[in-house]
Amino acid sequence: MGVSHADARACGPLELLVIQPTPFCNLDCSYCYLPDRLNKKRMSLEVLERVFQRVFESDIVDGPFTVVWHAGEPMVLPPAFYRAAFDLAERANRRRIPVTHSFQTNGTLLDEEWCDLIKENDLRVGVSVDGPAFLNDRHRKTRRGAGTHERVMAGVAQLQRNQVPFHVITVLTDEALDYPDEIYAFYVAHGIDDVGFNIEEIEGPNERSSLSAAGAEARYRRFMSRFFDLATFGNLRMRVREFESTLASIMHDGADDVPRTQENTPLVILSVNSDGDFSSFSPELLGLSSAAYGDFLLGNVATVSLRQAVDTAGFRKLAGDISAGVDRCRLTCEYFGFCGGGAPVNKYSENGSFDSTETLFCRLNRKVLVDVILDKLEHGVPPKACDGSSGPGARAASPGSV
Amino acid sequence: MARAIDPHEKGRLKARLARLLTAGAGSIVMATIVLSTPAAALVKPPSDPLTERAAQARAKLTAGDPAADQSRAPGLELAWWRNWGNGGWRPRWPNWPNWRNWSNWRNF
Repeated sequence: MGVSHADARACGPLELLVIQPTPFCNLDCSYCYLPDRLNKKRMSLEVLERVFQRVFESDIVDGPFTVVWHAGEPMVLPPAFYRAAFDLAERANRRRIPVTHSFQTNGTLLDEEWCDLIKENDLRVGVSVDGPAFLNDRHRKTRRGAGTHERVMAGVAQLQRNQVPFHVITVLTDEALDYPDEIYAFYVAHGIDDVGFNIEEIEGPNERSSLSAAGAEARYRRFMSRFFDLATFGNLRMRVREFESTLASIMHDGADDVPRTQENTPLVILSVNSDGDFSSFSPELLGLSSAAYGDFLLGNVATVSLRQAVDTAGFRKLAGDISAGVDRCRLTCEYFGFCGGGAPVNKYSENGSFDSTETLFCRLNRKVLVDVILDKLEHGVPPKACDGSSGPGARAASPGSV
Repeated sequence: MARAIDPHEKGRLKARLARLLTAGAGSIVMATIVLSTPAAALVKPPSDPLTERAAQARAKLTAGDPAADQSRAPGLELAWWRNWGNGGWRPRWPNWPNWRNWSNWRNF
């Protein structure tokens, strides 16, 4: 059984600690949600030490969790910073809680030294790349407006030469929806078999999404349906995060209990910026601000413990409104058992309130996916769908090279 | 549908399945359900159309393999933060069919 809704309002346990070692990013992607990515500020080791002390002394830590170095390009800081960081984490971890460190990177700075660090510390790596160059370079650009694909793929090759496993995150924009075969062929050509698709979201500075356009939802549905066929029966079987998680939600009987989601449960995710300010719920809230909630921060590690942070009026308002939004989803949406109430940052960014329901994100990333997967389970996949006659091999004349 | 199938009837169903094979995998799924859907999968009353469809899909996927039934597994987390890898819920779903071994699922 899942947790009861009352339990779901309780705090933690911590599963994901998102640390922003710097807000700076060496790229300037058009859809980026980070408002401060020109800022070259970096987290000091003193602040970092306090972060780990606060986390490990807290009772919200009662089992393994993951540290994600992200939100800003983490690899603009040198490997030496992370060697010191891992040492600080280990010293603060007196209970010997298993901790996995993970990097979400644009891949452009990966070199031999980084691969050594990754292997020495068994780090998990996710690389952001939006498929073949003709798609990637439309949005993932340098500050001078140049494409980044070549540099990203050099980083990918570096990981592969060093036999470092990694997953890829691809952001789907409107332009990508017509090219499932080309994106699949790109993954195949580069031996990439672990993929997550993010959609272009309306968040922070990215006030519009190309996926809001008329007809985009139907095209997204066709994209996911086609990619499912390819990933399932194509020459290279792929693990696609969206398909696996949707299947998980279908395999679970959500009719009479309430699923839990990381982003809707306080302190399951803890996000810390380079100054030591921290927030919870959706990590993207860190760096945003609003009239109703200020800067969404719960405190600073220098002065406030995690327990003290949740005993404030600001936290109670934030948590209460998010919880009310989840309740509203539960009462009004037939997909609730497959979703658990959406993502707070999307509700706030799209609807202006946490106490709200449907968003572009949930329509595409929850409802459409449930529809597509259920349809596949009910009707199967035509055996010729991916035998080469209609798949990537038959479509060599793609708009760009892979 | 849940009754025991006598050998003669099963033979006819198999013959039908063979014909359906030429019509595509979707038809194979439908035919296989006739042969193997367990009684328990059909007992639960439907709640709403989407939940009912999911219940039927679960029944197909777990038919004859109780170990694959994760419908009551504890601690399900349905959502994960988007830039994180797959680690969130996966450790709690150790041995159920996944997309890597899809082709080994009995209906395909």
